[in-house]
Amino acid sequence: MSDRTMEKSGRAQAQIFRRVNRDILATLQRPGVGWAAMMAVVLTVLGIGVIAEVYQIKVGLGVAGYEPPVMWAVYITDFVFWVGIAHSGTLISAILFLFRAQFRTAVYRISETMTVFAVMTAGLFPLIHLGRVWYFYYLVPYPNERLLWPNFRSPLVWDFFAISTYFTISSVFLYVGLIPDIAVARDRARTRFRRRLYSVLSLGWQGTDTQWRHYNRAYLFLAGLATPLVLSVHSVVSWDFAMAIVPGWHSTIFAPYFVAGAIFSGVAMVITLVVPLRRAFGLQDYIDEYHLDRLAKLLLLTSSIVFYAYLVEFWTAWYSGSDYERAVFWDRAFGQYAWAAWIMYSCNCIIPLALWFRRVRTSWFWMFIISIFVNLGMWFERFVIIIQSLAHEFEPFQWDYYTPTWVEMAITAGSFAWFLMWFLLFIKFLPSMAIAELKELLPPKLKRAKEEVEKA
Amino acid sequence: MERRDFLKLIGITGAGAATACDAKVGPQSLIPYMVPPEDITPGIPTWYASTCRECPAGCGTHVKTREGRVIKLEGNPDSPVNRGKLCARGQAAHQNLYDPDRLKGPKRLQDGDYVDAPWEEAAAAIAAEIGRLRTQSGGEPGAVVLLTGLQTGTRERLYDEWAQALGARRVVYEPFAYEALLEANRRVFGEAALPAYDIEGAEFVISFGAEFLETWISPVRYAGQWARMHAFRGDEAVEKGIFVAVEPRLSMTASNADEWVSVKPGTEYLVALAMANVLGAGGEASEWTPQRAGEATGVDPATIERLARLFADKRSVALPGGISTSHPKATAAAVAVNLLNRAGGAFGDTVTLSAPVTGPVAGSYRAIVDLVSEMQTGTIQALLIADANPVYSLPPALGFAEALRQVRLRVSFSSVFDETSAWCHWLLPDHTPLESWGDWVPQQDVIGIQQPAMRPVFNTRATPDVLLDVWRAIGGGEEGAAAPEEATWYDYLRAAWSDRAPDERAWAAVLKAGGIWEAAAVTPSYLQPTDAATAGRAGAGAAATAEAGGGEAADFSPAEFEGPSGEGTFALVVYPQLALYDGRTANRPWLQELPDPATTVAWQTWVELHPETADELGLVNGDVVSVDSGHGSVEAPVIRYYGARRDTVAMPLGRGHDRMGRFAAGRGVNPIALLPPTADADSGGFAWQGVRVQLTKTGAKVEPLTFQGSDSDHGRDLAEAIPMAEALRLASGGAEEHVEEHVVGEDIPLTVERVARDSDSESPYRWGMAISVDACIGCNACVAACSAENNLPFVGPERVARSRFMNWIRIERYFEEKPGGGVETHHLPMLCQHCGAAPCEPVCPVYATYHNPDGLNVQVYNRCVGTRYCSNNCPYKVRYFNWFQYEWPEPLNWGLNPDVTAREKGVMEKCTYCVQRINAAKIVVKDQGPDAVIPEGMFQTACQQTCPTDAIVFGNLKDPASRVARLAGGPLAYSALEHLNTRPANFYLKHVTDRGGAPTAEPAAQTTGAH
Repeated sequence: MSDRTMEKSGRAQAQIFRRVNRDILATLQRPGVGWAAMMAVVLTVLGIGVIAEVYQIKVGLGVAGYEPPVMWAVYITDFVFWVGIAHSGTLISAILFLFRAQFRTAVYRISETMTVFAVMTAGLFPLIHLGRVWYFYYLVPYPNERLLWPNFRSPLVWDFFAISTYFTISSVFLYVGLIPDIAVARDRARTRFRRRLYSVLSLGWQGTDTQWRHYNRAYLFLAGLATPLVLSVHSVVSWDFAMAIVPGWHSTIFAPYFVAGAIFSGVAMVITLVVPLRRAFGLQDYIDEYHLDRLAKLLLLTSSIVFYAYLVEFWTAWYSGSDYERAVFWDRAFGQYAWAAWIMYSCNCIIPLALWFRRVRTSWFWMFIISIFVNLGMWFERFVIIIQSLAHEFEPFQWDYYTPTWVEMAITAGSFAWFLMWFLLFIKFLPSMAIAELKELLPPKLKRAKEEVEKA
Repeated sequence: MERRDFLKLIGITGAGAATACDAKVGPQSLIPYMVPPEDITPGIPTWYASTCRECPAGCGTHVKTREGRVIKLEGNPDSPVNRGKLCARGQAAHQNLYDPDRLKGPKRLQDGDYVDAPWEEAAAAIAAEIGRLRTQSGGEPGAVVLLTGLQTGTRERLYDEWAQALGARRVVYEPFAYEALLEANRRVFGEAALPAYDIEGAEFVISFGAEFLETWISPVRYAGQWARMHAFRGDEAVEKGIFVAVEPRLSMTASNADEWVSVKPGTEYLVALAMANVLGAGGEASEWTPQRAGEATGVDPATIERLARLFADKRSVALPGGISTSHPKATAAAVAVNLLNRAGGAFGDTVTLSAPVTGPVAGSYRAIVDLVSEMQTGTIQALLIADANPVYSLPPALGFAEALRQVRLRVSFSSVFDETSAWCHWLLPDHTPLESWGDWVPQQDVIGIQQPAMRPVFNTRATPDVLLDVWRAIGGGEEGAAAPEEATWYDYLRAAWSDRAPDERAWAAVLKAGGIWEAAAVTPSYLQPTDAATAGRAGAGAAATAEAGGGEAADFSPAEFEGPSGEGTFALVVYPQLALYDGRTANRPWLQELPDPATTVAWQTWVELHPETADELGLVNGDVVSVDSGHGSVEAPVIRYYGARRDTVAMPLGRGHDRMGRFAAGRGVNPIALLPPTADADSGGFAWQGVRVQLTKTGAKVEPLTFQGSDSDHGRDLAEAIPMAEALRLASGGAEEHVEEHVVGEDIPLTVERVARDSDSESPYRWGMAISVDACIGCNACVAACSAENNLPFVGPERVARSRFMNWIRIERYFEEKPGGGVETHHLPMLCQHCGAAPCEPVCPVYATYHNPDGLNVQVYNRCVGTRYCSNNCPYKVRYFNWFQYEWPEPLNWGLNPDVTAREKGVMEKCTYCVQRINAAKIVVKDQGPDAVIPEGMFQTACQQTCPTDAIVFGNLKDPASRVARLAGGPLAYSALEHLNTRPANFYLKHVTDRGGAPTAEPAAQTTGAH
């Protein structure tokens, strides 16, 4: 092949790369009315949530709907929900990276940011639900003259470590992955502020061979580090329940069941976010039905695991012969919280059965709808596990029925607003797709050309 | 309490003590301890013996004060009435003392408003007014009336003397006066007295509507007697007695019966009559064969015969009716029970007049009816009302309030602004009993003394003092005696006691003892049935009434219930609620929040309906129905209750106040509004029963304020029962037939020895309890005692609606279907189990709850951050969370126990086994050397101390000789939810059922579909 051909091919390649840069960086342009309107809504809802929380701190936790024996309720439901959402991010970015599953490239940045923000949201709830939040630091193992340490036997302390570790690793992982892309943004930044910002954040990235080599190693190792966390964090969260003696909680299946559920809900949330994003920024060329189909299959797989876990729970309750277990599960299916349980079973097991059809899997509309249902169903899964089990415990005298108050609803809505606020800021400040990795996926014409040159 | 408040308090009480009860020094003057008062040591409680005046029973009390403030009441162990025990009302008595809405000083009505009036002015003005009225009415006696509640002893004497001297008349009005019992006793054995019923000595007790474990005459005494007769704890192989209740409603008393015979309202005494007939009473009883009585009452004739045989075979006593059977035939009913007692040989044996209960004065309702008609005609010029609230407790149809308006001068001595005070010109608040001198004669041979335990909280004055002032101001007059020489009420009282306590030493001894009990001094006077009764005629009444001059013969036809009939109508049963009695205790928030023993409802008035009836009417808990009797109507929420009959609805008395302060006003409704002013013709007593009501669904719905989740324990090992025969066999050394091997984690069966090892090996203690489900009657006295001892807040109805009550101990009431039909009621006290392997401990992230060296599961309030994980993991659900900063409106906070922390919002709390008492005992024992150990019985927990039936035994499980260790190691002991291997320190003793004869099927009682 002649030099000319090579040059031509190289130019074409550069053209494509430029287009990738342009398309992705277009998301960073000055926000439009739609974005501003969404931000306004989000900030309003967040404001209401903050007011509710301040009111709750001032007056007491009683302004929430807690009705003993239901001592944990919507806040812990929200906590587990958001931790669950956080999970698929790392799954997609780290595990699928190690498995070299190429479909992840288009969506992994979104899912990773989702992870970080979801952990940031989840981390609020253990504080919100404390009776005396102003003493939250008692949970932190800090050295003190009284030699008072947290109780390392308590799953809540494990939780503290699991969540903080997860937050650290996943934000470092997100940041490392962002470095080359920030450099691209730096190079194309129009305003001084942005240039400054991206210069600092890109850590002097030049795209040299050495930098790329180090970068790839680091990314691989971080992926390796993050991988076990995908399994461990939600296992630890599940032990908040499984370690207790509450019938309906005390079950060995909880760790795998929660991990599968977390991935299930996380993938659903990725779909919920990607579908509108793709439309809003015209990223149809980068995220297409192929990606959607893969995500849908992941959803289907995890839905089946969750379905299986539900069945096993009932089986175990029956097979254990324990009156208490049986009573709880009978009550779950047919008792006062049956409405919530059946929302959960329909959304998590029945509706995802539609994913067996390829046409559904590749339909943006239907996938969006299903993902919303799955999100709802997974929220109710935690609601049912936590509240229904507590409401129907050992002591029949203390059986009761809990309903949330406006404070809990406001804070829950506020948590969504908090999450979306960060997400909206993110898509306007940092590339929400992995530019460098997208380029890697393009047919490596340049490389081939080089080989041909050598051959020649 | 804040440090500053504490210091202030010390100062104030110092001032009080230094000025020796002179009421003139206001609490503003702070005088430091230049010379410390001798009897106050900060930190050490001072106790005063006194008498409880929450109801006419007159239990002896020990009032605990700290730094000059009453903080707790306990029963006086020496008092023969209550033997150291108190009921819930007694335990909450100081909340009346500290009621923030009490009248804070004397007031006068001026231009439609109450204005402050000094005491001197008040006495002078009233004296002048009375003097004027007397001259106006031409000195006609009776123009001035002193209307009081039941009084005994010196105060009664003073009232009578005052009335006589001033040409006034004294009218006694007590809502629960038991006139029918007195009248029946007069008819049958010629003495209008309440005899002593020897429940303790009986083997078979049958009650015809007497709520003797709740409110009837002297409930604490009878509860103790009942427990000694009935409770089987497995420590001795002696068969215990049988108790049967014949009632139209499953009251708390009936729920403790081995058998509840459900009868149509107004017919329960026909069962007594038929039983008497079976026993050969003859006379009019002979007309009532079991068959005929069965038809009239709805009771199986075989049951009547079986009960009659039991009555004859055993040493028996039959108790005549209480308020819930006071219908227009109440006297006939009581006569019938007397006939049964006579036919069964109980007279002179278990029913004696050896020490008659002083009890209510006969004819009080009749007197008030006369008074009302006199008021209406304008004969009454002045009415002074003390210790009575007739506007509230009389049926509106009688027109007391309207008649009151005809009276020219109306004076109220009530210490709270109640419904009657609201009609009065003068409000001259009396001291509460805890601030007053006085005495009380609960029975002929017992005189309890009442001494002030602290200086008056407000500017109040003893009513006798006011009356003495008035008397002095008026002077003797022509026919009246001159005012007594004694300057004050105290002097008058002291003078009245001069023969019993001639010198100060003797007086001090009386004050220390809390009264004098002269059991030996009274010669037993055995009941002598009158001629008519001896002649075997049930119409003893007839003869007696004829003798008394007129009236009709006691006829034994069933009491007719008037009012609407047909579809959706029911006979109405109103009954005194255990905590609120006749409504006088409604201003005590602990009592408002005390769950009703039967329905577990607090803060509201409810309508009890049988679940099946409710289903037919489409009513669920909380549906508001309108109850209409034709005489009035009220609206209240429905509570489905298995102890209601299909043809009956029941409503509790005591709520529905318009006044009486923030805790009483507007809570619930007053079912008295439904009642016609009907009296029992024979005795003149008020007929609390006797109307039918129409129920209409209003469509409104309120949150039912029940504490109870499910009505059944669903066969879980919570409330366990064992048949009497089996219990006896085990107690006499028999082996368990099928030894349930509770082989748990460590392959060690759960025994008292195992549980005792759950404290440090160096610690001599492992505190524990043995709680007898058989003895527990569900009276909730422990709940009130715990509230007072441990500063438990009341949370109010809005929070009870969300089950956020804070009672560290609660009585779980479970129904269980009997194999032969009917229901068994179990009362299960549930409190922290202080588990050896406590599930709450490992889950707390900050070690706020941990196991202390004595094996207690303790809660560190300062460390708690409020994750509430401990509560989730507690299988017994005995941890309570401070959802808010609970308030103690001034001066209710004066009653807080300074030994116990008042908890902040956001922390968890629970039963501590009264750790402050344990530590107080430890401090004392420490002085006796390093190895000294707290001896058994050195202290008691608050719940154990007050339990009228001794159902709770607390002690050291490590001491094998202790009572608790012996009971816990006994054959009836079990652990709640034992299979969880939490190793609870509370051992329960099984409920002993199936005593004597097969129970009959009760079609009205089903527990299916509980919850």
